[in-house]
Amino acid sequence: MIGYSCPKFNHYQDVEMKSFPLQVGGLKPFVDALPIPSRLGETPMASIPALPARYFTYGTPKCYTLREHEAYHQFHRDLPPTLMWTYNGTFPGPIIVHRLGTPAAFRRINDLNPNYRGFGIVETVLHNHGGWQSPDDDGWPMDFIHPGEERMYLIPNQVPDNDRSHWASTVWYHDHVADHTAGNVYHGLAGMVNQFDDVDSDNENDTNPLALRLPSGAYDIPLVLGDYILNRDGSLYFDQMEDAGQVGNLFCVNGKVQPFLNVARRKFRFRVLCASQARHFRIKLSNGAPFHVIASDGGLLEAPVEVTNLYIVPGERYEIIVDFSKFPLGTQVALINDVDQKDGNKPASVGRVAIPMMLFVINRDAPDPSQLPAKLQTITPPDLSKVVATRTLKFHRSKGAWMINDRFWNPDVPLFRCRLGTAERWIVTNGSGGWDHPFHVHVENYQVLKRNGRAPSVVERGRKDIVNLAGGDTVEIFIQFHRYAGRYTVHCHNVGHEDLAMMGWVDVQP
Amino acid sequence: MFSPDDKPPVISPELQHLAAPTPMNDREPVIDRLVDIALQTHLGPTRMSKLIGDKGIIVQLFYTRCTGVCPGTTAMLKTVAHQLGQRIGKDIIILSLSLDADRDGLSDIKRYAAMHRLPKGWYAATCSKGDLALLLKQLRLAVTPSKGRDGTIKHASQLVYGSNVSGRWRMINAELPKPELIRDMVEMTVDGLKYKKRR
Repeated sequence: MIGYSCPKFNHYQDVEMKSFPLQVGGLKPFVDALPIPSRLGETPMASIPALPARYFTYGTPKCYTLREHEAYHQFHRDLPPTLMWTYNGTFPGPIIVHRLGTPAAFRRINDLNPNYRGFGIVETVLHNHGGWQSPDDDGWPMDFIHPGEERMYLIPNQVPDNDRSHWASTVWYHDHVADHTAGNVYHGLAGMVNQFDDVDSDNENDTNPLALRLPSGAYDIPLVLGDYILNRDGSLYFDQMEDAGQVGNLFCVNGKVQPFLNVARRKFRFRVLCASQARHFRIKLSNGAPFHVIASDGGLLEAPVEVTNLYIVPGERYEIIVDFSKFPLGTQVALINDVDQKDGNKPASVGRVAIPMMLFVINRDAPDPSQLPAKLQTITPPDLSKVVATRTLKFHRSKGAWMINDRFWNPDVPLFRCRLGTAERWIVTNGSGGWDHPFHVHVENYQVLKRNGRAPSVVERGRKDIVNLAGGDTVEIFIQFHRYAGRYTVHCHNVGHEDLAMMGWVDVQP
Repeated sequence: MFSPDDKPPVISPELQHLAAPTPMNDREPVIDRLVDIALQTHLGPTRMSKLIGDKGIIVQLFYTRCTGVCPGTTAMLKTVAHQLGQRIGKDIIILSLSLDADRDGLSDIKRYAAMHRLPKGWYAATCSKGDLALLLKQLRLAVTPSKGRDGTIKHASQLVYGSNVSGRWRMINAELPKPELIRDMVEMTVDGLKYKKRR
């Protein structure tokens, strides 16, 4: 059933083992090339089970297959391979590419080892994080399938109200089974989704005058940030009893410990995802050079924002443009994280450390037909006249556990009920200074109205599906329920908190 | 998956300070099997490994004099046990282990078991302070439960559940609103593949 591949490796060749610690450390950075996941190819419709009529609601879908199975992955050249759970054999999983207006049907096959022993659970759920799809296709945490089973999903690739500013640029997919999301995602069940249309067209040579011609192809690269702990035999270290969310000592990008990437002297588009369980990052370039943020979770910003650093929390995505043409050939620039975090609760400090995440090596010239337009799109502003209710969502710790509105996760009872076709204002708070909570809503993205009574930062003014709630924060959001009735999961995206019941759901009724 | 270039660069002098080896890590081993401590249960002495065998287990950390969360947790566990029906004792056991090794003796444990009419497969137990510390350390809980002046022990209402066979362990707050949810989570964690979807 499962085909293992075991790459050649140098067992502990250069691993420093001071007094034989229990886990791996002492690895040399910048020795592995950044792996770039391949794009997921189509599956012929004839080779999948017959699709029910609802899959043709939005036209004939393109079909894809995601098979969850074990495979070996090497985090570092000097480590033995690690047995992971993967989508289609790679960690991260393949990049899914969607086009606006072209629906997609996914066949997900659970081929995990039913006799697996250890953390996580082989009953799995697939969540299309940031996508706009029916709650039935979104990844309800109790809607798991067993090894040997499969199920289909419909991703419509439509936008609400024909409003193209809803078209998310970078989505990601990951496991979301109740109680075990942290373990299952840590096992490797995660991948990126790139969404394009005829404006953000995946073609920097596009002759369409409306096309943004952002860097594309080999110059459009995902950077999946994560932190891991590995045992000395290469296996994953995961503390099932850690209730704050685990932070690791091995800083990884796309599954490699502190890799390097050779880049040309031109613009690159990087899709940055924080896929860690609990760790926050603030990324910057080691030479202090500015870069531009062009998109947040739910799509392009109105205009590029020049920054010298960017804060990102678990589950969040930002897209940035880095222009390496400013640097001479041979220049090396590290991507730095300056958040020091010692446990899952919250960062210990910001700006006092310099942790290298990866290294860019400018090693060649290349033509650059791409552009960084001054205007990216117009985001429809929140229509507050549509607001029919104001709610409060309080994320807090009580009774030694994580709660939302004094309640634990209960799949049978919603936090509250909303009406399809309406909009609401939610006031989301974290009353404690002891820990942070990245706040996530499924199905619909939202817009931040205020953060602590003030206008949100420029990079938080795009569409979002995650905002961080630091201790004492109050964030007001505007959310609309456009088309899909059903269960909208809301939770803390510190997946350690989520698994310990800091999750609820909203019943959106027709 | 592809890597554009495999040849590692020679790190430039100005970035040498960023090229230090990754930090070391030396954490406690993660839980795999519950530590095999000696137990005095209301039915007699045994060891943890023997008690669990190949069954799943729910561990309630309590003490007999508790007037805080423990009575509610025990009542809720009774409902869970009722819902698990014949599985209790056959596939899954419940262990109510005292945090009050100083005061909870065998007679207290037996009285507690009788008072709650613990069904077959549910064990009330105490153990030595040293063994309790070993278990609490493994569960990442406070090694020395703090005692108030009135003798109360401050503790959370967490239940630990899992299986030595699957190596899968979780914690859940006993104040979760529905015993059915706890039953489902326990069954899913303990059984894995054998778990039957109820929803």
